[in-house]
Amino acid sequence: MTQTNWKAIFFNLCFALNSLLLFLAFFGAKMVVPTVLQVAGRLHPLVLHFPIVLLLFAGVWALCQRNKDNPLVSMLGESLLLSAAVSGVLTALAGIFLSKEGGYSEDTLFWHKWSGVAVSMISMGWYSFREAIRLSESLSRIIAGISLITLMVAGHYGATLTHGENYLFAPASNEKQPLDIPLEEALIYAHLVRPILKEKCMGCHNSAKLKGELNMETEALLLKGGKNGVLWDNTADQLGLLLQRVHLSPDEKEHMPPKGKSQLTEEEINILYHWIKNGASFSKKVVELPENDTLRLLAISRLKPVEEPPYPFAPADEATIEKLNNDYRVVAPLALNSPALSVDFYGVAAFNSAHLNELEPVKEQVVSLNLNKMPVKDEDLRSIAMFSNLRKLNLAFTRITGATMNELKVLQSLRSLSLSGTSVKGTDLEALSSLTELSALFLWNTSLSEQDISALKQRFPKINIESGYKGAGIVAKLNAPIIEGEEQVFSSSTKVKLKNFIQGAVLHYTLDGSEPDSLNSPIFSGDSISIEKSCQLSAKAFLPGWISSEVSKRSFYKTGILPDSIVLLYPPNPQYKGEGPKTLANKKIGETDFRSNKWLGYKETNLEALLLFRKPTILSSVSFSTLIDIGSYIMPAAEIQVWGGNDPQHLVLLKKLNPQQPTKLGMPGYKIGFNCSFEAKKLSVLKVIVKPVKKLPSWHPGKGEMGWVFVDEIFLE
Amino acid sequence: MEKELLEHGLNMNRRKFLSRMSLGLGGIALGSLMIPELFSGNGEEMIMAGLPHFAPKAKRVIYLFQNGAPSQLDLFDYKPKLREMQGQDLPASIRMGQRLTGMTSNQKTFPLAGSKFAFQQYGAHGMWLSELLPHTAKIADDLCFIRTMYTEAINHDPALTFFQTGAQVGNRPSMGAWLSYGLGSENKNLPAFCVLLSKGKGNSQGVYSKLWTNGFLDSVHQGVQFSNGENPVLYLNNPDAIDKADRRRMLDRLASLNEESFQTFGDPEIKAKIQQYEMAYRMQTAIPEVTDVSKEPEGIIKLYGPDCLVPGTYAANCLLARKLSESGVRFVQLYHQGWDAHDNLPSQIVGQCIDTDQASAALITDLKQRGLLDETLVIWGGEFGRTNFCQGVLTPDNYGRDHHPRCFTIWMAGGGIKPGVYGETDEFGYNIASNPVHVHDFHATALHLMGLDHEKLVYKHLGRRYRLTDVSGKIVQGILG
Repeated sequence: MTQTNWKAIFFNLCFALNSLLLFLAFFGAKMVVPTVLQVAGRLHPLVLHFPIVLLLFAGVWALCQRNKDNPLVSMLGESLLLSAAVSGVLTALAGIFLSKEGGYSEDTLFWHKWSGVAVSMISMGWYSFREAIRLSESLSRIIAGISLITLMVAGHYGATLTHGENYLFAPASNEKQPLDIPLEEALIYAHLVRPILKEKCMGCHNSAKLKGELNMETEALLLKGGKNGVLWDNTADQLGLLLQRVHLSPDEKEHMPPKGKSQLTEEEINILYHWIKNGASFSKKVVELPENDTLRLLAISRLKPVEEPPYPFAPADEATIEKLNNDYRVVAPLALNSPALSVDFYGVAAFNSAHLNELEPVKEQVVSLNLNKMPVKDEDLRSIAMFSNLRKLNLAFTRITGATMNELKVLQSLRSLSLSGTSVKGTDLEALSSLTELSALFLWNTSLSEQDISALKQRFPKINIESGYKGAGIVAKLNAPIIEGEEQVFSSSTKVKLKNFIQGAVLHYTLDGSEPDSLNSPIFSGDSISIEKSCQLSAKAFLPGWISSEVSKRSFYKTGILPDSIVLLYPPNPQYKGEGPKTLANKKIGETDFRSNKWLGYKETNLEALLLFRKPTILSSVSFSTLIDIGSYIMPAAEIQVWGGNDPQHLVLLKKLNPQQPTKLGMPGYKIGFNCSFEAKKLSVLKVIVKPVKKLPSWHPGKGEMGWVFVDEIFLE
Repeated sequence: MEKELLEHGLNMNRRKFLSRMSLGLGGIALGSLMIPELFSGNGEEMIMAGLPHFAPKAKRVIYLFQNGAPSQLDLFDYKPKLREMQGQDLPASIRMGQRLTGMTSNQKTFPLAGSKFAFQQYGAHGMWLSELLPHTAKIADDLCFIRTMYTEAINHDPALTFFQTGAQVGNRPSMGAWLSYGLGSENKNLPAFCVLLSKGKGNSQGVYSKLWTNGFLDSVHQGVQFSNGENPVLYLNNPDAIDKADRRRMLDRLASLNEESFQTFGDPEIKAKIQQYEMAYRMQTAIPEVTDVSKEPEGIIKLYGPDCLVPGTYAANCLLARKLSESGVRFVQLYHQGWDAHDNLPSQIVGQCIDTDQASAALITDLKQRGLLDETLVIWGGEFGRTNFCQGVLTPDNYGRDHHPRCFTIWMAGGGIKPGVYGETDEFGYNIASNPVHVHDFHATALHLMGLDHEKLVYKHLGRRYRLTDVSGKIVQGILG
């Protein structure tokens, strides 16, 4: 009875641990292993020998067992089996903990893990159904056989994990894995191409599996190809079968490597492509390729270690880093888990030399220091010199004069130094000669002359010296003056200011539409210009050493006389109806955007309007403010007519105007006024007719279609 | 035999089953102790520490978005074949049933339209550039031209939204917001993500605040749009009779009230608001320092062109972008409108290039001469390309081009970018011949350069993890230096 209890306890334990095992096997990816269990994990290589031996015995026992009715014999078998199951699950759990330490080949680990779990589950299953199994001899043997095979599989993968791929058969085969081949000796095929084929293709295309009757193991067999023919052909469309299969969409059956298998990376495909394109030589060396050859570049990136050597210092204390951070000084690791720090200073007013010295606790770790525009003084370079591992230093637009440049001599890791915008002199830079790592030096906007720079370039041939853009001697064009004045339409007078952002630019202007010149036209003094009558203001900027600007123009309209009412004989196009009839006398000038709701637009019909006066009024001029936007089919009116009289039925033609039509595309939208002056007359009714262009000219993209006219205001005088 | 079977059956009775199961559950419970966040559901968020996942090549981004889609065929992608076949119909074998917009789908013919501008090769990589880009040509050796960008969107809004947020529909966080979320702000006195707008004379398409949205991320990551006026940030000055100390007292009191209401409601937006007030307070000194252009040397004015002093112009925004970026703004997003040349392309594109060419090139030169280019990623490009055939009537010196998502050119420069020419289109400039780069790939690469793994920069929202690249995106190794 005590014995049964002992067994029951162990079996229950075994069951619980197997549940745990299964759970961890499925969900363990994110497991955090406590330290104690890490130790347990490291026992895996020790305890694993128990289940191997015990299960082996139990299996052999079951296979060889003849006398099954003997209680002693079966009891011994049961005990062996239970011990195997318990030690098996313990081993598997330890293995799972150990696997978390990482560093194992993923593929092998996968198979080892699951075969190990299987061993544990099978031995427990066998024990729990032992009575039923024992009844059938063949079942016993099958179970024993499965257990042993699974055990071997798990054991083999485990050995592969610890001893490496092909450990078992390596002495029998003469293949040697090349390690760390220097670029000069590397062969394109052996060191670039073959490792790819081996890793991604030979799993199936080997002498054992011979998938598609293709074996890639030797050069001769590779040349022979498989059942679909040779693998490459330089004259073919996609350079032959191999690349064609590789380039197929992964969902296609023919795609290689097949879906689910480890795929070729883009870089690997590139290597295969360029190798085949270059003639698929088995003996060519990488260095035989031209300097800029894609394959050579790929080879360099593969053969050379990509990662920079680790920093020669330990990370700083996190709390210290945290304490050094404030609103004007940012101290941060270059990346997660990187010991190196970068420090940036911001805020000129907040800067103080002491803030540099405060970085003392992290002086080893700072590799990048940005002091751009900070008021750093010459003596501060001594503080900067404490950052012994500094690689990048930005001192642009600081107040250093170069006098203390020697302080930087100790920064032996310095690679990039910006001194742009400082007053360093060529002789100060001699201090840089001891900085062997320095590869980039920025000297824009310093007092150094062209000769100084070229002398420096000769003195330091290894340093890339950037002297930047030279503005001197380049003649640029001033920008056109900005006309500032809210009202374009005014009743008595309006004030206008001119502005230009280039310092010292002189602004000349005219009010008669002529182009301003720098001799006769008045100069804008800074006080606003008072405009008293309708006119066009033109302004132009001048400055010695610069090309004079374009002319800025703006029309100003004095309202003078307003009609008492306006009647539109045809409604405007519903899309461009402005504010209806009153649009024409609301003192609002539209923008060059025809969609702004300040324009009346007509296409199918003329704009015909009656301007009515309660009392007869003396009139001599009608001005139309219109929009032209040729690209948008908005043309000057084909014809403008002004009629007048005392009642709408008796009108006489006062003036007819045929505005000049444009002859080409290419101008952005602009506004233009048309004036119809006539002999002064007392009138009660004024009728205006503005006719749109009936057919757009042949050079216009919409030739033959109707044009638009856009009018926003009519001014009477 | 029968007796044994029965006994076995009885062994497995219910009580035994339950007690054994309890052992199993115990085992599982033990396991769950070792995976603390298995059931808490926020495992991934742990990676967010406001730090790059690995050492970054670039610390900041300046994205010069050319809104409306510049014509790659008139600027970057030289196709003499189109001039040879001028006016002939686009072969169906090339078009391959490509969908068209409603603006050209009714056209009976698709006459090929070669560029009327002259091309020439520049720089060590022999990049073909049109005569419209004389300044860009001078810095060609600093740029990496990607001629094989493509997108799925065929209209402005979805295409623009796609480029900015990684999805064609709205409400996803913008690229700048993702970077702000992933890397935090460099300078605590300025927003991490600033937006500058300008407009050219060409046909323009809208930009809207949804393009610089924080989406489902915390609202501190939203882009801050600067004003086009002389004060880029409005209302920063204290009103008369309020001094700095008063302002401080007011903010402290306000913060304590906000804190109180946060305790009551627990709305994270209240916290965000407190932070924003604090930042605005610090911006009161930081912004005037950063945006003041009056102390820029004359050489800089000539470099960017005199327009850089006129607020609201593209040149002024480029200069401001440099100033913001050097002051630690993580992501400066420019938009320049006016590239949507469906008609009169030759005249429109001339104006657009005058506005943008010099200042874009100046920005690169300027960053370079200060030693900042290697830590800044500069991107220039639109939302898609333009067709190789003419929209509307083709005349000897005038044509228009419709939207073309299948291939277009953008350029990148700076931190971690290998200057050169990447990708090739076919001789019609219609399809990609080699090395396509999708919008998701572009995002993956940009994040990579900033030290972020685009598959790990995630945010859990509505029950699933979102990324800028969502479920796609490959890093374009060929453009990495």
